[in-house]
Amino acid sequence: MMSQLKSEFKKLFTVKSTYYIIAIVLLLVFFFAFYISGWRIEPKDMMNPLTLQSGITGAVSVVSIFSALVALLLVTHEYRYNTIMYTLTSSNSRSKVLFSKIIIMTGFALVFTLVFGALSPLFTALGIHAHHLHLVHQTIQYNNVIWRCLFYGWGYTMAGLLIASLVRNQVGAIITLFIVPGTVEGLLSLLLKKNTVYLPFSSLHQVIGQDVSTTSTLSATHAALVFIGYLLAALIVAWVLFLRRDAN
Amino acid sequence: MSHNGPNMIKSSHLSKHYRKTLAVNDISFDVENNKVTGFLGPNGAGKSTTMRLMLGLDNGGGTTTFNGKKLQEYAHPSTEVGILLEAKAFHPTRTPRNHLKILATEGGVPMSRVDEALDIVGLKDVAKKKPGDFSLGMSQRLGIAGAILSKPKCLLLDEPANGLDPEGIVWLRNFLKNYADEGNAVFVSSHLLSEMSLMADNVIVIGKGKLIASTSIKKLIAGNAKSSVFVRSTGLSKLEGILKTKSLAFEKADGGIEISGADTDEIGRLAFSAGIPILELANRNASLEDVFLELTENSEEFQAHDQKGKK
Repeated sequence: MMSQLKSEFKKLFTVKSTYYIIAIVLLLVFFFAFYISGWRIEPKDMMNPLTLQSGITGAVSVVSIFSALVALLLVTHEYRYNTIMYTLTSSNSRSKVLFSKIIIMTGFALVFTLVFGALSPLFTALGIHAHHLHLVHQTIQYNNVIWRCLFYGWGYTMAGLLIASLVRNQVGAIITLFIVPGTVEGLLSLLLKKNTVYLPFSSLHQVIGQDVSTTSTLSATHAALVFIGYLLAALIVAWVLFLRRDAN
Repeated sequence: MSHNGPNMIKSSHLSKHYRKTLAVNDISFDVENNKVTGFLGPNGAGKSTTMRLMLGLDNGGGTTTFNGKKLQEYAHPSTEVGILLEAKAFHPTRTPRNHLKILATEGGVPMSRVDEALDIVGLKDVAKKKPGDFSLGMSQRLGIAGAILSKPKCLLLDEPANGLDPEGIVWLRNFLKNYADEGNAVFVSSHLLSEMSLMADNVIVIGKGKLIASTSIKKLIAGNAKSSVFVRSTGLSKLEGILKTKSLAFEKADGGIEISGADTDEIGRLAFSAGIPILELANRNASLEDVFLELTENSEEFQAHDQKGKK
């Protein structure tokens, strides 16, 4: 298993797409946190003690999509470039291959979320300071924010990885990742109304406190449990298919 | 071909369905150690599918053991079997060195072996270049480097000579023969029949998913092709008369006659005893290509036709 983990780690950091995505996220976080939320801060936000906390959750909700994209590429590159045949013939168990990817992407997602979640308030504070403005004393509920952000970042990343495992085609998986959370669940919300919060990505948004178009909301813990249910179901299907399907 | 050496590949009852199509139909064969075994068949015969079944990449019927064990029973299967199933199976922006480092990590192979393998296949100078721009020949070399990285006891190569220049083909032939001579089993598919006849000791022929032949190249040619003797002479009509009395079949060809069922010694003696001057006397042995075409005549999935609609 260790050799699979090391190999997946190397796969992740020996393709340029991983670095491009990290660079894009860094630029986005800097732009929005430093310039929009910091330099051009609204006067009402300067008086809000939760400005930085909102900035953290806001940043994490955006950067997690990119973390999911990294996971998606880790899987779909294997099929697009047929390296999956080396991966599968190097391991004596397909399960080890799938779970190695899950473990490595879990680590990546947690570090990615922590780093950019921490950089966001830092950049915002720098932007405000550079503009010679002052924020009121900020309150950050660290325990609450950290677990919700980490769960959101990890959850989105796992969703990307499992979508990739199920779809396998790179373009198809990317389209699915970007269409399901917004368009598909948005359309379903017209039908489900209050129950929209029980849809996978809507429940994930609830964890981090992102509003969905409904008046009904779940607590972060309940929303996390709902999302885990979907994740487990998707994992079981992806796992069975990974074992049973032809390599590519 | 029932040799049970310590290093050998043994495939039993391989089969694979694609919906209603039977791509591989109950194929069993052995690949011996110390030998290069060629894997031949027309397009669509099921060669690649068979190789994928052997490696467990495709789900289907049958089993394959490598030196007595299934691939999944090895802690590091890639140290037992090196594969090249597709030339361009690498990420286009991941350098050859990094590509091999990943394979080495997966196979528990020392990293020092990466540069050795690149050196062997002649890619050391481009080890840090993006392989996306590699020619087919260079891609094949990278694939071969991946296959031999862990010095496996068995090699499975699908069309490794495709895209190689003449020098590369000679290098590959010598390399694979030497690799087999070191006690390893080399299983290689190719459409280059002339190359296969130079490289392979044994040959497995399939057509439409069925096993057609599994034997040595010498036996295959001897057993399946019609050898003949070609004679050019100023006394052909006299010779033809003698052949008729001996009940030897012949036909006119290339300004002489081609005689079946006799050898040069026999024809030479007959002509000499009858005082017939011989200008040319030669054996015309069938090539692997002749035998292959004969064996797979009715097994071609995709047959080309000439402009008049004939095969």
